[in-house]
Amino acid sequence: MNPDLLRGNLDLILLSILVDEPKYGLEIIAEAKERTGGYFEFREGSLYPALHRLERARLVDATFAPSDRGPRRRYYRLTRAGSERLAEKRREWEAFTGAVEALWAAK
Amino acid sequence: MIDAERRVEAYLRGATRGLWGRERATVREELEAHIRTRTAAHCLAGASEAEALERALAELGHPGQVNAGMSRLYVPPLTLLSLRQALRQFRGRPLESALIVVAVALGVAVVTAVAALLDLDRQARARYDALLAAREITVQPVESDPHAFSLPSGVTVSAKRLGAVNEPPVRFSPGDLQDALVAAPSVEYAYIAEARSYFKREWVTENPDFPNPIYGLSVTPDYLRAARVEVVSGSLFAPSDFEQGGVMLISAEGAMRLGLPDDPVGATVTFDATPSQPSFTVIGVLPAPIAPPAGDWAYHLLTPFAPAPFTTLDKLTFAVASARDLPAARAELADFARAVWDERASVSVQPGREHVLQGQRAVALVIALFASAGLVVAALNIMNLMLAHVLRRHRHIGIVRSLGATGRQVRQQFLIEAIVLGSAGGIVGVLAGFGLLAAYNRYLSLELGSAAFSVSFSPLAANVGMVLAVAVTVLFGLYPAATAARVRVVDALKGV
Repeated sequence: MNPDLLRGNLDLILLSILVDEPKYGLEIIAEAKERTGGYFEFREGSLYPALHRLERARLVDATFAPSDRGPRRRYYRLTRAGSERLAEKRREWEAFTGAVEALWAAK
Repeated sequence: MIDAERRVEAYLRGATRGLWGRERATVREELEAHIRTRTAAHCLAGASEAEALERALAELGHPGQVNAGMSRLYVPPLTLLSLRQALRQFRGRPLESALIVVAVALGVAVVTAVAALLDLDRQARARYDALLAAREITVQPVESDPHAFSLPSGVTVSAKRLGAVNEPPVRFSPGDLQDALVAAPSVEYAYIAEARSYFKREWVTENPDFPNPIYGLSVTPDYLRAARVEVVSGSLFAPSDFEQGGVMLISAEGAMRLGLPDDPVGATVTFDATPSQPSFTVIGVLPAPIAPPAGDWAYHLLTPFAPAPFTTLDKLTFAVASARDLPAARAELADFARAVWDERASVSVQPGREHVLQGQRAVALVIALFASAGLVVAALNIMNLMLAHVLRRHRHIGIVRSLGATGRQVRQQFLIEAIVLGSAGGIVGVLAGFGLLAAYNRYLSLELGSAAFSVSFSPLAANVGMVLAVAVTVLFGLYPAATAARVRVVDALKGV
């Protein structure tokens, strides 16, 4: 996986993962790995700053919730602004990839 | 077990360094939960506790990197961390820091001293005005004026005066006072104040060779106004007193000397050894004796004087309301004197007060100019030193940038250090400035023997000094700080 590609699209990826339901850090990492067949293997240390950045930008909400065993966990959930941003980024992405694919199409 | 705890603790501390309050607690808790869960997962997968922990921490990454990511989000512009860092620099490079502080202190000391001096100038001028001697102009016969031949500026005394004996002596009369007032509008007061000495026979027995009399002034009403005489108890002369006489104002010291009770108002004193045996009733107490223009003794008594119109006077005394009017008044009186008495009367002010007639302001401005020059030099010095300071820390900056510090943060770091150094310099400078003033003070009182010029330490000057120090240091630290921020990580880390 090309880290440069990841860097530019981290927001899109995280927001996409959070679309369905609130998740906590480890869950997000696990899901990213699973659903993409191991393609996205985050360096966990950079995940939390990214999540906190999204929280600061009010694209996600975060709250602590007790867990059945062990310490409480911080759950992140998409806000309305977050879903709007996700939609926007999806459009951007589709436009981008569309354009690149157009270059490969037979002339 | 304990080791694991400590390990986790150390990690968390590193990851949350520079964060404060709720943010710190939140991040901490979140990371801790992550670590514990991960560790448990690894344990389940078969690793030992220690191994599991290590793996979990490794997966999370270096705490510094986590911290860098968080710091970028959470660290507000001026944190205590920056301040601590600044102080650490101070301790770590004492010589360099000391040089900067001294440079600032020098500039500030000069400016503080000047600010206080200018303030002093203003105060001195005010206190000056209160001294009657500073506002007095005397018109007297040329022969009797000891200063007539010593550089009066504005009155010419021709050489032939020195040998003149055939001319009628100059005599003044009370009417001249009124005429002069009319002719010289800048003059506010015209009065007579003649010295008198009084003594009592019993003082002779104390010291038969030099029975010390007590001195007083016999004055006309305008004197009280000109000298701004006040009484602490009793009252001043009433107009009737000037017709009848028999009353006096006395200083507390004088009352003590005469053996009067603590509140001497109403007491009567009789003096000896004068033909008319004058006795006086005290009607008021002066706060302090009146100091003569020169000499060690003082006038303790004031008595009213109402000269008959034909009395001849030795001299005419005038005063202005404020020392500022002195030059104009003097010129006007000189014209008047020349008109009435030709060159036979001289108009003089107190020697040593001559400098009032030359602009004091010019001197103050020159001092201020020199001070500014000194400050500019100091400021350039500061910039130089701070640049060196920054260049020395090239590598440090490179490392910090590589860990994620933004240019803005680096610049702010250096600015905070500049503020710390500036404040230190300011304090030292203000103290040094006041030290300079104290020395000047001492010099003045030795040279001129006048307590009227003692410097008071004006808080205004201190504030000006401090603000200036910080402002200058920050201003001239901006360029070095910007340079620091622009340091390219690649260049800085070369050779690491």
